[in-house]
Parts: sequence; C-alpha cells; structure tokens
Amino acid sequence: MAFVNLKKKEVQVKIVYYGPGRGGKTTNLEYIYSKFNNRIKTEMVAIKTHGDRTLFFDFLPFDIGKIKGYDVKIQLYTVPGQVKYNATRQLVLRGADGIVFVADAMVVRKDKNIVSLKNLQNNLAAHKKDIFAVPLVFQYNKMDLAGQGIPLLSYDVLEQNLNAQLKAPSFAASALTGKNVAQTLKKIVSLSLSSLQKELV
Amino acid sequence: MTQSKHDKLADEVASRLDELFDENDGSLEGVEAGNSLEASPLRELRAIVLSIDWEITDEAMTRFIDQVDRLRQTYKDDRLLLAFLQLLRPLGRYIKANKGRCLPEAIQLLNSVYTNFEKVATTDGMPREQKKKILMAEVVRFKGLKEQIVAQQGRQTPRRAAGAPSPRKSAGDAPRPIAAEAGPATVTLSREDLTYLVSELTQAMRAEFDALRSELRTLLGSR
Repeated sequence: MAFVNLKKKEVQVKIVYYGPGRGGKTTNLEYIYSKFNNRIKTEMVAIKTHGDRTLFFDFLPFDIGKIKGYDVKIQLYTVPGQVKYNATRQLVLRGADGIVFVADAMVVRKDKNIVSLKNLQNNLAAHKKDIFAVPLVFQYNKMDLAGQGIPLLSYDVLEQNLNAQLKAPSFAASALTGKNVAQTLKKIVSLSLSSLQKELV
Repeated sequence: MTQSKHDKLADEVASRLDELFDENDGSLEGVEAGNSLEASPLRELRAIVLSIDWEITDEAMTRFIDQVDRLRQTYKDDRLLLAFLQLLRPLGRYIKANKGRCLPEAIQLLNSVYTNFEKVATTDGMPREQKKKILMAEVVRFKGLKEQIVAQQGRQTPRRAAGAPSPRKSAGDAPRPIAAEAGPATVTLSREDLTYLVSELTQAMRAEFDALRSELRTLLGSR
C-alpha cells in the first residue's frame, strides 16, 4: 500500500521489478537511470555480489511532481532473481503498489519464467495480496537477441505462457537497448496511481 | 470518484510521465539499434557468454572453450585479438573446473574481457594504440586475478618444500589454478637477467666438473 502523508501532501508509490535471475530487472533500472538521470535527478542504489548479481535489491527513487496537489514520489525496486533469495524477495515485495514482471524471452528460460511467476503469486499471497488484483505489467525482455541467432520465445508464446489468465498489459522489450523500457515504466506508474486514486482526492 | 475525474487524473499522470520519459527528444537516437553481430564470427561466443548463468554448466563452459579455440584459428594472424582469446581460454577453464567455488572476480573478468574483445574486434577504425591500451588493462586485471587465486590456494594447501618439483597438471576437471595456461602472464627475461642466469649455470657446472675431477684424481691416486 502506498505511503500517503496527508499532512505533507505526499504520496510514495512503490514499484517492484520482479522476475527470474539474469532476466534484466537491474538492467531496466540502469537504463532508466542512465538515460533520464538529467530529468529525474536522483541516485540509484545497487547492492551487488558474486558475478555482479543483485544481492539485496536495487533502488531508484524519483519525483514526478505534483498531481492533484500531492507530491508524488516513485520508488523503483528490483528483487534478487536467484531462487535462494526468496526471503529478500518477500521483504522487498511488502507494500508494493505495482509490479513489473520482467520475463526472459530466451527459449532456455521458459521454465524459469513460469517458476518465478508462481513464486510471485505465492509471495503476494503471503502478504495477503491477490496477483489478479495488483497492478501488473509484463515485460518480455531480451528481444534484441533475435538478431544474434539466439532462440527466443515469441511474444505470442510468452503471452500464452504467462499472461493468458492475468491479461495484464505487456511489452516486448530490450532492457539493454532501452526498447520499451520507458513504456513499461510509464504503464506501471500510471496503473499504480490509478489504483491509488481514492487516496489522492 | 467519477469517470471524468478518473480520466483527468490519468491524463495528468500520463502527461507528467511523458515529460519525464520522452525518448523522442533526440538524446536517445540510435540506442535501439543495438550492436548486431549477425554476420560476425563472434556471434556464437557472444551467445554463450550471455547464456552463462549463475549455475555454470559443464556444457556451456565446454562450448565456450571450443568457441575460443575456433576463434584462435580465425584470428591467428591478429596478435591483439589472439591475446584477448589467450586471456579468455584460461578464464573459461578455471571457471569450468571450479564452478561455484571460483572467485567471483573471474566471472566479472570473463565478461569484461569478452566485452572488450568484441569492442576491439568490431569497432571500425579504432587506433591500434587504443586497442593495445584496452588489452593491457585486461592483462593487468588478469594478473591480479591470478595473484588472488595463488594467494587463495596458498591459504588452502600447505606450502611445498623449497626445491620440490611442481605438481603435474591434473587431468579432467579437478580444480586447478588459472596459472596453468596463463599465456599472457609468461615471465619475460631481460638480456641482463639471461646473462646472469647463464653465468650462474656455467659456474655451477664448472664447480660440479671440478669436484668430479678431484674425486677421479683421488680414486686414481688411491690405486
């Protein structure tokens, strides 16, 4: 649930990038940070370990200015994708207002996407949240690898595998090149704020 | 909240987000083009590097080493590129042999050496001096990693007695040091060093022969 400070007229919206390890969650935040830093004027915090992997989480906060008289602050988080860090994932997921599920489009990652999505559902349930009710956007990442002869799952197959029931907005993307990274972000912020509308008026 | 209020809020949010994350202001031109290697001999190696996951598999690392060997043939006339490959091969073998037990810096270095190898191999018109500079930075990092591995092994195994023979290279996938194949880290001797070593060797041989002669004389004299 978003943190709303009625006295200071401030709203903090927490967006969590979720998905299998090495899927591109951190790369999403790095792209946003490197491309829009002159506009969002903020610092990204990343805690990494073995082989440059996310140990705890990455954190990128920024303000989007006043909306309905409230200062709206967005906080982007990633979770560590590796299976063994589930406790951290649960912790980071607490209080999330919106989720971007970053799926890996490589054929060899098909099962890992599904396992991670189920893990998301379970971890949300642990916080008494329903995956069908939480603002959610799918991002099918690494589409740029198609040009390099790496077998990829098509957008339609990914939709069928992951989004057939949830029917959430989705984007074919490349976090490395930036394709649809901003669109994904805009969509999840927009959905999250819409779900918070009652608190903003 | 009425539908019109909802729409107004959505419009306001959309407009604010467009202002912040507009990608059509010219600053991001060319970003989406990426760096395709479709027709490049590096294509396969890049795919393998990208596919090396946290759980490093024998299969991926074997393919990696095979690809490096293939590229060593392809670039056998380009000493700079060959040097990058000479760094990649022992790194691949070290990671393959030690997997989860390998130093995390080894995986970072493999990624870094590959990225720079690709950069040097595919950037048209890059001055040779710049290429050399990039290579030397990686060689320095490689040597640093080697020292770390040697130090780590020194802590794990008792030191060999001075003068004891070096252990033979172990067969198969037994953990082994990166130094086993470290081509670029080969010690190079200056002319002075070489002269000194030859004179040391000559003196040692002379001393041995003198001792033998004296022993023979003693033996013959005692008859």
